[in-house]
Amino acid sequence: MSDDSRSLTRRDFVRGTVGTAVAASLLGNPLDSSAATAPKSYVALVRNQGALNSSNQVNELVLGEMLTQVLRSVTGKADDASAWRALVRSDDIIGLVHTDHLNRTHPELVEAVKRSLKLAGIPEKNIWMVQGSPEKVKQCNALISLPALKAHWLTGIGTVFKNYICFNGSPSSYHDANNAKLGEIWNMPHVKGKTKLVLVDALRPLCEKGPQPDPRYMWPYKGLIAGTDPVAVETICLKVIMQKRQALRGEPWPLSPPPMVVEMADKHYGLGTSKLDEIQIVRIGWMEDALV
Amino acid sequence: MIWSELNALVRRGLKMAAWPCILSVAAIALNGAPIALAETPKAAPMNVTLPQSAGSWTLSGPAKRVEPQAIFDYMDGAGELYLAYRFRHLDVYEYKSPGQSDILVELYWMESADDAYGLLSGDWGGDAVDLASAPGHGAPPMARALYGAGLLRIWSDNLYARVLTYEETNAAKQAVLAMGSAIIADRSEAMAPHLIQALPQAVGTQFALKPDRTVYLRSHLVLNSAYFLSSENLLDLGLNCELAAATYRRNGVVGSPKQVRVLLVRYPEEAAARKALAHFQRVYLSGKPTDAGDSGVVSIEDGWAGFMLSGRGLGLVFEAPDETSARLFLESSKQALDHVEAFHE
Repeated sequence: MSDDSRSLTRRDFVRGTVGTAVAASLLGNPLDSSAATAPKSYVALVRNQGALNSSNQVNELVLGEMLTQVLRSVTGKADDASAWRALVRSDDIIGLVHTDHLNRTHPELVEAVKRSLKLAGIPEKNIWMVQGSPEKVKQCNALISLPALKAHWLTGIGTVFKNYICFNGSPSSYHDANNAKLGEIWNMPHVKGKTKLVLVDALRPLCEKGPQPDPRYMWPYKGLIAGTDPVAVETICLKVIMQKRQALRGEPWPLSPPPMVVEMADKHYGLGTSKLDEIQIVRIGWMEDALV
Repeated sequence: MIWSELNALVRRGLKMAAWPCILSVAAIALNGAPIALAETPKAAPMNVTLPQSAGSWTLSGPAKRVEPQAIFDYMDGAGELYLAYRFRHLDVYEYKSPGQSDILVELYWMESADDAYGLLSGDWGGDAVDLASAPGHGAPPMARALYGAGLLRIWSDNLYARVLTYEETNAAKQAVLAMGSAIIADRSEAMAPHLIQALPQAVGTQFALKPDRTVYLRSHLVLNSAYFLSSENLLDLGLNCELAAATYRRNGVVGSPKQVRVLLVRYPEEAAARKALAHFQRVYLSGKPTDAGDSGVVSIEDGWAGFMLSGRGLGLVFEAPDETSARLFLESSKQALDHVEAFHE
């Protein structure tokens, strides 16, 4: 028999006993984000109309420029090398964590990050691809998370926190309602404190029925969303998804199930903030239909 | 009752190929033997003949077979959807064309037509496509094939198929549709699940069914995707249960987004339905009087909720605007559940 006292029901969301961002996503309310008065976290949103062509192929030159803008925005440094040095040390073993299937991270973005790291003086032998390998993660000093932005039919959103699901060695333990606990992976000894940058591939996100690709719900957003606070980044990603859903249907389109992982990562695991009034979005580039 | 149902089926355009199944159901029903609603009277074939080519796309090789225990290797994070229905196996084909995006064909073989229908019903978006030029290929919840932006989804008896091109061009769309026609060729067609057919089109004079928000399911994971109730399996759902989730809009109300939600559930036996109702009352109606017995309505945060037990059927109503409406929905739920039950007795 289940432990009823631990159940979270729809009524909890309606009552407002669950965080604003998560409750709004389930109830279809707008996620208001007036300018943060005392920001705790910064999230960079960089978009460029030329990032994809009409066939959704990546323009690598433009993508490289966007990466530069992200790095400078997140760190406040004047050039890419200085920016990377503010995030990682030159002798770090750096693990790149991309989404490797089902709306995977664009390979061009992974290559752009590798190239930029090497130009910043990081030896190629110190740049590892570590998705799916807890053993490799244990040997890394730094992680760069590179998830792709997508809604997820089981978890609401399947982007930042879902990207580390294999790092506890038992992904199935996060199925069903346990997906709300995905944030705990970020506090495991071999993961904790290692993530230096969360860089979300929002070039062509998926706003419904993920992770299986469904082109009806994919659109050329042509963006990168990044920061050092994973909860804040996921919260802004959630807002983009929610706004796109409302735009598609012309009416509130709740995200169900609610992305409890965001709430838990904030309140229970202390990984960052999901409060929109504590998040400052730094917008760079093309902002038509930016949704946030 | 049985013959009027059969007449209704005929009016809905049942193909002759399905007649042996229906007649056997009728014969068993007339003899008084119980029939489990979810059972398929006759095992449908689990193969189709795909073309070697469609347009400039050519089949790249034999099917890749994915068994249930390996589905997470094929689609980690998405496999639960298929296991939430009675999934047998998946066959995956790829078509290639020089200089063009691949076309992926996924054939999900399910235990019954109801299971395959359930997968399509999760999303009625897209344009209804008449691949067979036959009757019965109408709008949701009776559509058989839906196309949108390069993805064709098909319900054909015990088969749910996805045919996908990542880059939609006119040529790719034609190839996708040609593959869809090949998939359904020579296959019989089943009717929508009885529980779906039993949903009233209107409740009173105020409320109308939104056909494109009608979902057939067996698992609380799918229920939470359609209408989140709880982080736990509040209704004790499982593969031996079936549930129709429906949304009703209120006629003539301007600017009101409120919609009434109805869940009709059938359990394998009455005891399971009774236990599920007790579970629901204990958790969801916590803090509310739960001594109302098998049927009742209560005012909660988002409107009026109601519950009703009838044999092995359970009806639930959410977000009704007032007590009278909630009771009206409960009455219509009871009629629908009793109607389905009667058809099988």
